[in-house]
Amino acid sequence: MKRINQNIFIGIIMLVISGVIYVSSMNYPDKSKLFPNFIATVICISSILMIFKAIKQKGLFVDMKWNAVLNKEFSMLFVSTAIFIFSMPRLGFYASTFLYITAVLYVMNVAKLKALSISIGMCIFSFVFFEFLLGLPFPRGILL
Amino acid sequence: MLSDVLQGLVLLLEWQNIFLIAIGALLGVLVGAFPGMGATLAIALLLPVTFGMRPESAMMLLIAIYCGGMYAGSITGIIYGIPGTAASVATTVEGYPLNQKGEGNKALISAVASSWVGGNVGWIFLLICAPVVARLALRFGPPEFFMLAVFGLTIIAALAKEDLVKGIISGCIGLFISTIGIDQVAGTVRFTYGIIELYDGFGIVVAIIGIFAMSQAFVLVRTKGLITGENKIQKWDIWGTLRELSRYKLTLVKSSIIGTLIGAVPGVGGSVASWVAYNEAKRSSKHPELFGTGTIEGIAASEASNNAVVGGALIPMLILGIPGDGVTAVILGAITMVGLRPGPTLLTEQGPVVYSILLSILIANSFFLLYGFTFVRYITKINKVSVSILVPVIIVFASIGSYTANMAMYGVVIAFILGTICYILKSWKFPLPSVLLGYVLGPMAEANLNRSMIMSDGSWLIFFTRPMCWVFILFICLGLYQSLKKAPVSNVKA
Repeated sequence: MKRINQNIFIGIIMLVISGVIYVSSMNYPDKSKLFPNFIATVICISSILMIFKAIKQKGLFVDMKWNAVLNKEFSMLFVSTAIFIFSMPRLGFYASTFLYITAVLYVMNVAKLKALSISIGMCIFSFVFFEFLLGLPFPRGILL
Repeated sequence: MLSDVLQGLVLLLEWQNIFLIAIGALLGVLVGAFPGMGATLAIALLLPVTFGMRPESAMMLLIAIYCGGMYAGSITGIIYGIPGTAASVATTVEGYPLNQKGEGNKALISAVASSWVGGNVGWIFLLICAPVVARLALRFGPPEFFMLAVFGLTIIAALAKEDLVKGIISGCIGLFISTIGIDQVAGTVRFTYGIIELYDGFGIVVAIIGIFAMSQAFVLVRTKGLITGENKIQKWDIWGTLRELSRYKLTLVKSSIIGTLIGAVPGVGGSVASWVAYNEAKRSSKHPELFGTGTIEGIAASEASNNAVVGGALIPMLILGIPGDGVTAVILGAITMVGLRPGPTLLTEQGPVVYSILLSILIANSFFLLYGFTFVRYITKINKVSVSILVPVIIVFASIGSYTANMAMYGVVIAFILGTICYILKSWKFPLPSVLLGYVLGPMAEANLNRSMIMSDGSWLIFFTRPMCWVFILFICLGLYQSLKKAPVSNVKA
């Protein structure tokens, strides 16, 4: 099945980004918008160049697959990390770290005992090195 | 002067001072090896410990941390592809591919040996020509700073291995990220979309963690097995690696001098120095096409220059009372706290104390060399740990680093969002070091462009009327010519 050339797709996204930068900086004073406008212009020109090159070299539509961005592993890590960051100030750093590492290792088929010992080890190391020795406070929540 | 140096040497050789230098270098290596931690944080944390100490002892401890931390940023860069500091990004570009080939040991030995060479060359410079370099550095005005930033940005062309256009877009994305927050010149709040936490911008630590650590974890999660893949891990061969490194003597010396000179320019620092030295090494190399694939020469250039910055950055701090970079700004605070008054009279008023501090750099460099040759080898055992285990551990360390940067959760959130964006960019073959390069040089370029325009009433001719600007223009043209001449034809992959 033929798909749109990935570099054309990327070029269009970059064009949109340059447009957003340009429009967002329109209301700034001259001195403040000089640099963003310059950046937007360079991104815009580069994107157009990228699109033209892609069309010239491979055509608008190609048989080749896109470089995979979204896949099962990334999605799993993305969602679990988002939950980890969300839960850190609520549950507390140590509780959320323990749950996060255990859960990710479990999903990645690491043996349960090994996963548990790595999670506990990580919490102990973080406490001893960062909190105890360096005196860096971590977020506290309802647990630990 | 000689009697001051000898008295300084006597002060230095007290066992308590040697012990403090050993501890300082160790702490610098340990803390510096964590992405986002670095020497600045370690020094800031240990400041209260120095309160009861004699001035020279306190300074020796802090400067030893600085030396150790500057080197240690390369360790995680080489092993995980996550630089500990902005100054070790160029090392990562070469060291991580070497580690993936199973040659991480070679990369680590080269990094520590090059850091030692750079540190010592910087030290010699500091001892011999501190007043001259300080005077030269003071001749830098906004036009020179702007041209230096532009020169730094031309390295994007050298970094774009596959596609120059993508390299330029990456650099522009970094430049754009650097504009988020309050504008340095006009004070306008830009691109914050009402989020108050963004008023101060992302911060370099959070940016490094987002661009390299988080994105790298997302990339690694797709990998099965070990970082080194099927490649056999080579043995820890110090002499063999040093023999190989000795082929790049000229690169080492040249990069060390670049590092010292750039370090002496207030407000520039190790990240710019390492890129400039890396670019110069690539430009003058017999095999520039190998840069980016894992070369000892690239590591030598980057590490020698970023450690030479230590000596260079201390020059304006001690002689003029102007910090050369972020770490020396903290040390400057400490130096005044312990009762020393940096400035042109420091050497005459406190000669023995100052020379004991300067001489301590040599001892600190020797200690981190010792640590690098001995216990750092055990860190490479991480290569035998499965990527599945490393991924959540990297994310947790990245979260700690980005949290401690501001002691607030928004740093973690920003690093996560930036990491996701950079993961997508990396999947689309955009070079991430260019993003960081843009981010680091953006504020310097913008602020000094605006200041130059104010100085010249809007005339661009200001950049062509100053001798130092012409030196940079020459280097920019040379660098661009070399990069474009050797750049492969854009390899557009569908």
